Amino acid sequence: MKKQLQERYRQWLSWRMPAARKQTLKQRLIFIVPTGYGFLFIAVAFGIFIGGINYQNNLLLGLSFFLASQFVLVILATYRNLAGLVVEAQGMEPNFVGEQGRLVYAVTARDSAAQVAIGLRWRGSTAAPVFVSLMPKESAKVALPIALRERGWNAPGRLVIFTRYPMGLLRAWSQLDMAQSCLAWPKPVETPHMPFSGEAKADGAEQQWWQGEDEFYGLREYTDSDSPSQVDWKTYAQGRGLYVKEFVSPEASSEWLDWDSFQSGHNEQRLRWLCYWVLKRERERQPYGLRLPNGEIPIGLGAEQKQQALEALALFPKR
Amino acid sequence: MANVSYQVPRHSFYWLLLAALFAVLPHAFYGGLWLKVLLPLVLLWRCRIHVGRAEMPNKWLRFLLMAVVLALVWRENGHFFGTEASSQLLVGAFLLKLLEMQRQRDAYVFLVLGYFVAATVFLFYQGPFTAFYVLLLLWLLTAALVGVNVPTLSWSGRSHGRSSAVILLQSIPIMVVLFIFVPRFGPLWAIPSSEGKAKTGMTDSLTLGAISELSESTELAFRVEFEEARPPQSALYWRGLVLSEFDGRQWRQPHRIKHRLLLPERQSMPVWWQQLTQREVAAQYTYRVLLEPTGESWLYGLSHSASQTPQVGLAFGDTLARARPVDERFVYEAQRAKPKEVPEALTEKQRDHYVHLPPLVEPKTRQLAAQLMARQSTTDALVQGALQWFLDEPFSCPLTPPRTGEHPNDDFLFGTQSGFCEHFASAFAVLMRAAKVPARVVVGYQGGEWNPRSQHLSVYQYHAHAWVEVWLPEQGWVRVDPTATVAPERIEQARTAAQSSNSAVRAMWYGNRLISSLRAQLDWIEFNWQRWVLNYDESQQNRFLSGLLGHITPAKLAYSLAVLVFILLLPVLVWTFWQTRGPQRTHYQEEIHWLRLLLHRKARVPMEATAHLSPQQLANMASLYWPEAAHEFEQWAAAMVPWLYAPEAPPSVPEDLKRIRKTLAKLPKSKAELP
Repeated sequence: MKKQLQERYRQWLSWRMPAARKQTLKQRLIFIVPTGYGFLFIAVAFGIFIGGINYQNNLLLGLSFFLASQFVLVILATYRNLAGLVVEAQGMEPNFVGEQGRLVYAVTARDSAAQVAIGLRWRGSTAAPVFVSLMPKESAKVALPIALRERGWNAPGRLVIFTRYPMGLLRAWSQLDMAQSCLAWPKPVETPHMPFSGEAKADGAEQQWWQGEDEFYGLREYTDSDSPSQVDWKTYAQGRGLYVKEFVSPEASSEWLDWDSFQSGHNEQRLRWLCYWVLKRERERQPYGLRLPNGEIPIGLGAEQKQQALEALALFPKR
Repeated sequence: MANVSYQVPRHSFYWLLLAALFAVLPHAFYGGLWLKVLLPLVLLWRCRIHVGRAEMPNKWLRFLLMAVVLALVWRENGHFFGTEASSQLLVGAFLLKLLEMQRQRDAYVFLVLGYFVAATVFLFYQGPFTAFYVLLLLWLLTAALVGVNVPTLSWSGRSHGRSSAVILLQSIPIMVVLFIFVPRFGPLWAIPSSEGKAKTGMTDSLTLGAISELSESTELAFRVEFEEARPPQSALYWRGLVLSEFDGRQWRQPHRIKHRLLLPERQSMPVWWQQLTQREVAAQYTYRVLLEPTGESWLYGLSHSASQTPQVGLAFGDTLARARPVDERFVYEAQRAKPKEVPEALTEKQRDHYVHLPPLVEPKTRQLAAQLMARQSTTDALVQGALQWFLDEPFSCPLTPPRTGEHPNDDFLFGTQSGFCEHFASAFAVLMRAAKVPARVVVGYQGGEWNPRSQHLSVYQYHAHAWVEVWLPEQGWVRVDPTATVAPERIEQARTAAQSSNSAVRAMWYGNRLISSLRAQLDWIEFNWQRWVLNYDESQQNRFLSGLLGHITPAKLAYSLAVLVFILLLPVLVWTFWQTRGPQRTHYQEEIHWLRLLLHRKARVPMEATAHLSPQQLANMASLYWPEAAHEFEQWAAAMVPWLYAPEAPPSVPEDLKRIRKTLAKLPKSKAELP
């Protein structure tokens, strides 16, 4: 029953507030309810009203009316403080599974007035919200941390934007689907053996299948001029087409981090191991390439190479 | 967790501190010494905490402080009930909360409590300036509350004051409408009357010297409005209490009838009262008294006054009184007329009561009475003779009369011969009784200050007076004022505090023409405040609203209240939605939008068809569907190009574009067929 209701609510939200990367907080996106202090305030006003009646004191009555009308105007003031705000999804900072990634938003105040003490957090998250206060037309970047639970794209849920300004008596809020997710790289896990032949041979450890003079460099598509002995039959057997194995000198061949070099381990494990090696190579400033069943990344080094490699690992299809 | 103390943001700390100061200050004036000491101490302590020189007190210290406050309140009041004690407790707890702000929540609770403390100010002060002061306090409290809600540390504190002022100013009109329209009704349950604090005013007995003390007080006793005619100043004798029992030193009311009260709701009233209230006899004067709280049940009125105000009746000596003590400001109406018929003669018992003197007192006065009796034959002549005697003897009315001894009247009449109205009244009444003329002492007020601007009379404590009533067989009780005989200037002129006060500064305050006109202005403000705000009660509301709405029904009242509030909210609503429209079109977008509209109107090109088109594409479209305007559209597109690539959008539309627009607007509608 509760599940059903939650599902209904989610559906209603996505109907009323559809996903978009840039949204202006308009009236139909904003809800407003009193906070606990709001109720306390009303109770105080009511108490003063009763006092005014019992003491037959018109000034006490006047004060209670004053507080009541103040409350009504604060409803509008709180709404005013949130409405007209423009929120735009800007980018993300990926991270490893189990760490925190961050999604970045640009929050821009409307032209006419400051928008103060605007809080942002994820729906359902218990983390402290991030607050921004903006002068008219001012824009601020807000990076919201998101816990990365699984490899690949992590949807953060709806973005809750709220404010209690000016008096804390009411809370105006909106829940936006910013059509944005955060990428999670596989968690790096140290592996004893190298996912490439060169060093493995030097260690005298497991024998790799491509033993020979040269280091295995990679696969390329079969052409008519190629000898059948060079065909990678294993790949063929997997039904992925006819490929030719290429070999390079041992120094160069050790640069390839290869999915297939692992005999054991399921997909996720292999991705974690590869991730470890990508990071290790980057740390040691040694160029590397990455070879996955669904493609490869040529040899290189540096931030861009690392990003590409990690992204490829992160987006490797799940079964 | 206990060590992590919440810091009130720097930009709102001083708002918080000021709000606390202003909230407690009136109570520090009113309450005992302890609050005067505690207030600066706590504020100083809080400042030191803020700058990091001191720590928040721990739980035990706070506990101890609260216990000290409790003890001090107990010491001052002897209990924890009643208005004073409970508001002192509230103020104490509020102040100590300033030293307990571990979380943001505490700051919130502190400030919301602050609104309660602001309300308690009205329990003790209700003038127009108090209302203004409380408004200021609300501004501070709201500003502090706004500040607490801004977690951005670099924010400016000044903006809190502005936000608070905006909210407050917007609230005022709605508050006024609620004040006028929300129905008033009686108390839901009885509240303890304000006990303990002695009020200045009359006591129920006359000890010599009591009124002279009162004449030092410049506090307001009551205000009076007259309908049409107003009695001359010398006839303004406001009767409060009739005292008929004399024990040699003190005049008081006979014990057995002290609390007797004839209420029109319960008892049958004397004939003259009934005639007056049923309009059988035309009233000579009709007036409304706005009485300040006295804590006593008697009221003040002219002689032979009847009232139709509920709960007001007739007490001993035909004075007005109320069924319960006047603990709050009270308004009553009264009519006065001189009764036509000859009063019934006193019974033997009554006569005995009014001529009774304790034996062996005032021998010299008795001698004088015997002489007067020997000389005069009628009672009337006797009274006149006695007054003449007062005039012949060198009596005086100094500001500080000498004290009198065992026989106060003898000492006064034949010794010091200088005294206040109560000496004159008491001596004269004793003299009359010694001469077997029934006499009684009346205490109340004489005169009052007329405010020409608001057409009302203000009677202050220094108008307190005592005089005598004697029984004349043909006329009944007749007022005799020996003080007026001796010092007529006191009665003929309006008596002011300047004449009754001995302080030079006070004499200036009340003597200076400029200052007294200022005082009249203030009095006017206070009078209208009291009349329209403080005394806006059920009957006044009914009168006002039925003048506005005709016959009042609850539905009508609720409906008009809702409509009025909505009308008052409308500007704020419009402003709110105007302000929150979101980002606006730039001039460039505006220009394109305008051209699309034009194409739509003149050539019936749907708006959707032209969405997302560049100026050149729009021009092409125009040449197809609105050939008459093709030339202008080409010009327009050309003019738009440099603007499109300008690094900064121009603040306004360029002149040539404006010109093209004008030409386009004048062109006739397209005759081309739609695609």
